[in-house]
Amino acid sequence: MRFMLDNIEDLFVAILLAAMTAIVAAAVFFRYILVSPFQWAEEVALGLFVWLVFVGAASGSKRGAHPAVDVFFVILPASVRRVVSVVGHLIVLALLAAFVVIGWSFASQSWNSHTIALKLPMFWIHVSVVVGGCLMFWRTTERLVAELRNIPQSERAEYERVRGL
Amino acid sequence: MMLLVACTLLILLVLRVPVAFAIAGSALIFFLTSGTYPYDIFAQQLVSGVNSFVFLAVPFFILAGTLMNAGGMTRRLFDFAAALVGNMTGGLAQVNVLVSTLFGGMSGSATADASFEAKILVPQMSARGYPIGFSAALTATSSVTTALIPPSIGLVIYEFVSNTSIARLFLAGIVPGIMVTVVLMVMVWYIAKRHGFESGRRYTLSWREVVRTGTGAIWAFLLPVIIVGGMRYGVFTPTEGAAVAAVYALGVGWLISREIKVKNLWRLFAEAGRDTALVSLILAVAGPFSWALTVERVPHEASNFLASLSSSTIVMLVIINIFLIVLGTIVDPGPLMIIVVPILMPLTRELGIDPVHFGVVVVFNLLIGAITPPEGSILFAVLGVVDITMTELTKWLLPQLLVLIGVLLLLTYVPAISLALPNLILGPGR
Repeated sequence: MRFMLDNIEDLFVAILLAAMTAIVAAAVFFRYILVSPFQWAEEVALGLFVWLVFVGAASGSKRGAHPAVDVFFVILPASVRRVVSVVGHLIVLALLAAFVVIGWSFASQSWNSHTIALKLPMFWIHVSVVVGGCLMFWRTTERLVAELRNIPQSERAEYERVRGL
Repeated sequence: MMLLVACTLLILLVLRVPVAFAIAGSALIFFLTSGTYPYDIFAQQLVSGVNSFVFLAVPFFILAGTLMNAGGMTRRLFDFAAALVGNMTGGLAQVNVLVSTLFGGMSGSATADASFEAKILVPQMSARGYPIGFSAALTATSSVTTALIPPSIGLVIYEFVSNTSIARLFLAGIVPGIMVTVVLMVMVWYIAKRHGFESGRRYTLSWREVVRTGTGAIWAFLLPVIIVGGMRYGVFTPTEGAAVAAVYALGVGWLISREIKVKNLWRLFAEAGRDTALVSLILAVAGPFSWALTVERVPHEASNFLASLSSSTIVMLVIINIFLIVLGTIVDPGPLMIIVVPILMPLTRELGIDPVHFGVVVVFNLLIGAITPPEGSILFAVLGVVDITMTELTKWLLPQLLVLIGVLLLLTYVPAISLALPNLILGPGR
């Protein structure tokens, strides 16, 4: 259970990517070998991909893996670096809150528009922004708390080793 | 208004807010201060930013690369390259270059290539007496060919932001990719000669060994045949081809070489999925950002401004090259392409620069930026594995970068290098 909770995004991402790959590859197989194409492959794969992006981004947030520009950061003295890092995390949290609010308002209006092939409400695609936003908010908070408690973060140590700091 | 957006972006980047959130933040500032555009547009652009079937090729190619590394396909390519060029001056360094080229024909991910070579090849090179700085630098430099030889993730992203034919772009990458390989091999030969690398022992070329390792790598060689053949004869689109490549790499690694274990499978998928998400989130937030730019007519104004600097195509390309290399040293190719290419497209149209040629130049240019210190995902993929500091790496990297910049200039001013092959196979463009 603990494992599930710790790796929930990763499990979800793995399933999404596997499903996308299977659907797109199967579409080729059905079209050329069985000559009975199905139209919904593209649409479903894209829908899953949108989910993959926002949920996978939370997995990135958990690891602090989102690409950032470090050149200015590393020349700061250690004490200032810490303040900048906390401020940066707070800005990201504010943005994610905006993502969730704006995303929800948009998604809840999209019950009446439907996808082309399967006629599913667009809500189920648009709500991925809200779910992903919440997950990213959670993971970013975790990292901020860790930062404030001054738990050494592995990638920071790695970074400083690499830079020879 | 646009000044405010630009300042927000800059401040957020300096504060080390991740690129994706910095872009989202500055786009949000635009919606916040404009007051006339509903926030729904922000959300809608966010989702439609990643809503492209062509772009789906990126997760599939990343997955294929991950599975090829895990399933031993890449290692077999390495054995083959070692048998083929291991006897040359600077043998293992030549292998380093050739593996990137071969890998490039199967995956499109320069980072996957660099991380494989850093893990497997660099220790072997150290054992044969190469300075670790040279090996690490060459691993970064040679991964550039991976990104030029089709399938290429960089060219897929370019296709997405510029609306160019993906088939043309892929064909246009082949000759420049091979050219870079040859130039790097000559460079390795020269450096190895000068420093006396691997001078003690001589390895002899054994055709039996070439045949043996070649047979071992047969499954890897079949992959590009299937992909390119399938796309050429219209059996599948590049995206479907990428998905087939991933399924193929999984099948070979799991059922034939039996190096992929079922219980590790989900981790491989999760890893590939996460790597995809990190690139794609930036693409998603670039949706509302470029929408704001377009509303404010920034691409138009920017190209007018640039066009006013000089009317000469050559001068303009120099300006663009310098601009991209400088930006590329601190921002990664993917994000940079998504922001910059839409701004530059109107300009190239005005100057009559072929968009396919321009795509090859931009991708190559940004990759040079990606391996130029102080920043770059490929550099960090290498440094994360190899025990060496950035300073030590830079010492060996700089001369190699100069060689690549020389090739870039050649590619920029001789469009035929990239355009001859697509024009020959698909007929003259546009």
